[in-house]
Amino acid sequence: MVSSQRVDALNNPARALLDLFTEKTPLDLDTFPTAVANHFSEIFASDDAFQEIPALDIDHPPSKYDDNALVRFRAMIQDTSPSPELYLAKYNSGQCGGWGLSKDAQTDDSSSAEVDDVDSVIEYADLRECAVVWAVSIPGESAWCRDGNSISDSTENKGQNSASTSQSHKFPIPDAKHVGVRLKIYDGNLAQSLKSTDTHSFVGILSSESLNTDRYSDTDTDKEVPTLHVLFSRPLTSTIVPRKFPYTLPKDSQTTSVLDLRNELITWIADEGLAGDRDAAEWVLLCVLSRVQSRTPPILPPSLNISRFPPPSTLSKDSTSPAPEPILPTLLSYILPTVTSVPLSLNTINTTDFYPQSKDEDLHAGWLQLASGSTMCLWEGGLSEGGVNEKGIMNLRAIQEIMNGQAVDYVFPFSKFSFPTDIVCITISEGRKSTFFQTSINVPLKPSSKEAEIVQRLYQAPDRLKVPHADKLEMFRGLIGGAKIGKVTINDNVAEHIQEDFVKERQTGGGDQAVTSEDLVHRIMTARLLALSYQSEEVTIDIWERTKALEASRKARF
Amino acid sequence: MALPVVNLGVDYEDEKSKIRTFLSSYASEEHDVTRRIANMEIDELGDAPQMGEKVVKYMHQLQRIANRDQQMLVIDLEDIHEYEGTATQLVTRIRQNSRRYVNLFSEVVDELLPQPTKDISDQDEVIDVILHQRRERNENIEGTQEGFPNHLLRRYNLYFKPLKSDVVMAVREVRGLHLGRLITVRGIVTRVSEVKPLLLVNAYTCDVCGSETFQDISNKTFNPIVDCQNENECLKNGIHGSLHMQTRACRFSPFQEVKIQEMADQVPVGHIPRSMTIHVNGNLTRLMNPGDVVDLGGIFLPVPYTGFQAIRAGLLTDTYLEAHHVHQLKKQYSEMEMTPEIDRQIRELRQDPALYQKLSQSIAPEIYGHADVKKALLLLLVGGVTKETGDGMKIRGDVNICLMGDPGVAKSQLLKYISKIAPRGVYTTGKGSSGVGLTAAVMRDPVTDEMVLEGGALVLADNGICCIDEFDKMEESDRTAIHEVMEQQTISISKAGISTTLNARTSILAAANPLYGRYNTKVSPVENINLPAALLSRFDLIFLILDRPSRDDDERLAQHVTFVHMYNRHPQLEVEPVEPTLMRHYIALARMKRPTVPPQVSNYIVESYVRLRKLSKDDETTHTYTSARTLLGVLRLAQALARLRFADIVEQADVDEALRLMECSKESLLEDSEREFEPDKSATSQIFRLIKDMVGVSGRSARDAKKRRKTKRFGKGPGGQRDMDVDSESEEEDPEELSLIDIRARVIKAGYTELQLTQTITKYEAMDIWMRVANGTKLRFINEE
Repeated sequence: MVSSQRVDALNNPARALLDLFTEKTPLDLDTFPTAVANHFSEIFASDDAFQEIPALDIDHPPSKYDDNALVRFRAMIQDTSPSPELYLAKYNSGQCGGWGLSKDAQTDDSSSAEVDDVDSVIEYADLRECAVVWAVSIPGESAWCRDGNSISDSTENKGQNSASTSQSHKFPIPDAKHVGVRLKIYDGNLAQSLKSTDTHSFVGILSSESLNTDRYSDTDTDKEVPTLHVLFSRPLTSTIVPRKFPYTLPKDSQTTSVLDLRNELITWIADEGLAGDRDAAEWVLLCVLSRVQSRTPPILPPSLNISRFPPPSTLSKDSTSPAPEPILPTLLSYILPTVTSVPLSLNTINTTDFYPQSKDEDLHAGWLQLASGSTMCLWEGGLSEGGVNEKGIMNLRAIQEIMNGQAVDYVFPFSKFSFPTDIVCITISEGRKSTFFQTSINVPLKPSSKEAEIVQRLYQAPDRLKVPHADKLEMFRGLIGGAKIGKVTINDNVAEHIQEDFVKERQTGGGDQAVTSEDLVHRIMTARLLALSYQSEEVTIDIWERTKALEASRKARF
Repeated sequence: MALPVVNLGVDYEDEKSKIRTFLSSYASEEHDVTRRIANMEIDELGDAPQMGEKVVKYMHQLQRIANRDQQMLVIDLEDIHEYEGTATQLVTRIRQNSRRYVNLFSEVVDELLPQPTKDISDQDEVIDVILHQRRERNENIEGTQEGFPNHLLRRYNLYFKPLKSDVVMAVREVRGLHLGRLITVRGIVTRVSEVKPLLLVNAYTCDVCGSETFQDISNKTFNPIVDCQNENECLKNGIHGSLHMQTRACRFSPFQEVKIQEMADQVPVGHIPRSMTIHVNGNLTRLMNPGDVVDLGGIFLPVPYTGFQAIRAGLLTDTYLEAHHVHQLKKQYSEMEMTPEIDRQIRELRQDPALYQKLSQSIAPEIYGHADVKKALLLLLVGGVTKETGDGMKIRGDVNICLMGDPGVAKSQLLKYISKIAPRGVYTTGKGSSGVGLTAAVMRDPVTDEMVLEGGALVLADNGICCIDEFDKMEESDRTAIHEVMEQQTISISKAGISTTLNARTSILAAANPLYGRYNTKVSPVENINLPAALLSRFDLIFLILDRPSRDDDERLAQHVTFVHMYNRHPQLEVEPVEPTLMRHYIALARMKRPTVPPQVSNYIVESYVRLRKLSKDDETTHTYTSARTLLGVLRLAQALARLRFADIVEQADVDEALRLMECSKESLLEDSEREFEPDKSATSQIFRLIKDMVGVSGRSARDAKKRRKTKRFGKGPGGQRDMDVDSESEEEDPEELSLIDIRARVIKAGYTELQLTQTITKYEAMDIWMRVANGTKLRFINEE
């Protein structure tokens, strides 16, 4: 029964919806959207069934689907500001309205020769609201998260944005391939709960409708945008793929313990991405595990700066091709669900939008409108001498705001609204410290490989990256994903130990080396991250000591 | 038009007769002056009724409309409410089905419209000429042609003014069920289109027969008529396509599209503000500009999609609000609304004897300690009284405070908190403000290419508080300008041909780091403070906050930090902080007071000032000096303290507290070297001194008080911080009896606890200094003479 329903729904979702409508008649128009959501989410309750629904993503853009096809769309909410629309929930003839179901389609299907009376009186009592929301594919989503795709074609094809050029100002990453879809949500409760940068899997009927631009401006072209009439949705976690903490190794794996796996992971990051610097790799690992634990009081992810990163210029000075970018972000995209790489050139800073802003009642996206749990790599290597204009200053400030307070201001005419974010920032800079930003952790890079090879290894081409076996990668992802959602506690006796430690240090240390409360906060934070990376549920005294050792070796690098 | 009402079967003829009686007989009560004045204007023109009589409000307006002196006819729903004595009848129906009632009212008005009482031919339009000709011709031919659409002849725009009690909604609260209703929405205007003509009635003339045809336009789109409708000629003869549009005879209305957006306080956290389309017609156009905060009364209406759109979208509709009433809110929307709940809380708070303490502790409650700094900040929020003398000289009432200290001592947090709680708080950093800077700048407007004056942070914080972080890293140009701001409270600018003075009546709360980042204990404070003396003297109070390791503080800090990380929340505070909103209200109320300084208190201030001057002259080690500005500073602080009590008179205790804060601020600078010499500061001995003082205050004769003050002049502070002096003084005095109730009130007000008071009493009782008498309700000093 259920499976036949599933096939029906997959083949002709509109028909299935109409059948449900007839089945439920006489019905309460107010609760029908909820009934629809329940009905369809029940049909596709199991994961297998859910996977059967064709996915809408950059490899399968809306143009590849027929009108009124059932699709699922893993998306980030970009803009909830459009006013809700009113739709006729029931036609005069007693047929179902909404979900893009036009009368014509119904009459065609039911083949009952109904007189087409579009101009007939609208029954105002049958008008209901539907929310209109703009959603985009999750910015920076790694290829491995998109199921059904092989990893080989993972590299982001920048510039080749053939998929969806309409409304590209609504995607955070400029000129990147993406899918942008207008969602129409008929279920009031769902519509109310949606916020900017929320991530969901939406399942609905795909069609294309004209973008209702300003009616009084004389635009000749009435743009058509893909529109998804949402039947039901599932919220996504920040790891996109559900994870467990603490992570347990799969039974058939050759790796003997989580500790070994952690070591392997660090070695891989160090060898492939950081020219063999294991300490820096460990810091990178700790940072990508962090998330916002609490806002009041603020327990926010630390920002990391890898300084003394050799510039690529020594490799190819005169080539006209764009400067090669560090391999690190690409490497991270193999193990993290969402990674955005921002090459901070003067051009990027001065001309692109970093924070979302509303222009003519339309919210334009910016680099920083990222889903929570994202990692952002800022590379300062592309900088040259020149001026930073006012927009650039505001952009840099917005990034610093994220590092300091995990909040980004959306700019509206006459007002600013602060939106919470949860983004890990990793900057890569040539100098002693980041050119623009105050980061909480600064690790000077100490490559261990041979002098000549360093630059080559740091900037190696993405296709030359040595990627471990798929099973191993899956384990790495499991380790990181688990830690990302894990909870770590500090026991009373450990807390006592930490307090005493601090007081002792305050007494002995003097002058400029005095430890401040900020140092303490930072150190406890690191200890918690370290515990997470060991998949340990509490900070032990052992971890505390290791934290101090890690800190000490980092400080010794200056 | 509206959802449910259509089915109610309302008898519209009946409604019309009700409207007719209302319009023709509603008389406004002559009880307020403004309306009387408004009516006087009307009276000049028409048959003036005697003052004090009731005026038939709407008939008068109709007469003015007939005379073409008035275009707007506003039907105030309050009037109907008053006329009917109930809100359930006509008013409710109007509110639920407004569009229909606009028509009903218009029809009735058309009927009632009187003949003009003066010659209006000079204002004739094309349409009047046509009308006139038609009338003449009709007399000739006696044709039974249908008349003109009523719309064409209407010389007025009819609007409804919502009830005063109408709930103001946010854009996101407007839902489908409000369709067709008269609602009130608040928002900020973000975009205003240019005013365009909106066609109401289209006019055509026929090529063949020369008759005019009129077409009522109610939609955005319409199909022009091509065939002449003249029944006598063209219709009969079957002539087609002979009509031509006559623009001059058409009826247009000014039309404007406006977008409003929700304001910050209406948007739930984490949501994006919504906007709404507003259609403005007739006389209401050009009333709004971008940036205005408005309450709009209007009818919420749907626009059905038309044509291809409708087929694709399945009869979806868009919505808009047809504006009927525009109410501009003042720019300072932030002016708070007093609710009975807050009123009650404030009254409760005023009764609290430990008010001063409580409020000051509630400033940035998560920051531990810094009690005196917080007290000073509280006084900064309240401020002194600004005076303007007859000859235009102004004496600043705003208190300026500078916080100086090591990085990481929560200076910035204090600043941010203050900027948030102050009614007009602006937070900026000395270096961070780009372009306009702190003061003001002349800039070229990119749109108009004109030079415009733009205010910086200080001008924006006019009548508020400007919190400047990194004060020491300020731009040189700003630093010179800030001298003027801090004393004269104006900003003078003469650049690019613009020479002007802007008001900057702002308190300045500055935070600065020592010269080399951290405080260097090896050099003097002056060398550490990296600011010129001229600027420093303009601060009423300067606090130096240093980060010194001390076992107690460190432990407490470590405990706090680990607690936060163990439980992801702050530990419970010892005191219940006052809510920021309540605090804001309380301060706003306190700021209304203008306490004065009575003669005896002013004498006291003068003496204190003379003493301080002498002291600073004698004392070589101080790093600040006492100037006339110090005197004004004391006065300001004392006034702020009086305001805090909601008192009209500054008391001596206020001056004492002001002096004490001054002293604290100075001591914080000297803290390093002179800590050892400080008097005993334990709670018990301080309470003892306080009680001792009370003996003096309640001392009966003025002679006693004077003597006491004389001794105090040699003392270090107003609290009588030198035990010996005070003690010797007590020997001269008679045994005293003090009511314990008074003592308790005084002691708790000064910020001590009940427990500390009891401890003090028992401790000194054991030392035979005093004893409790009268069943423990009074305290008697034991005279050991």
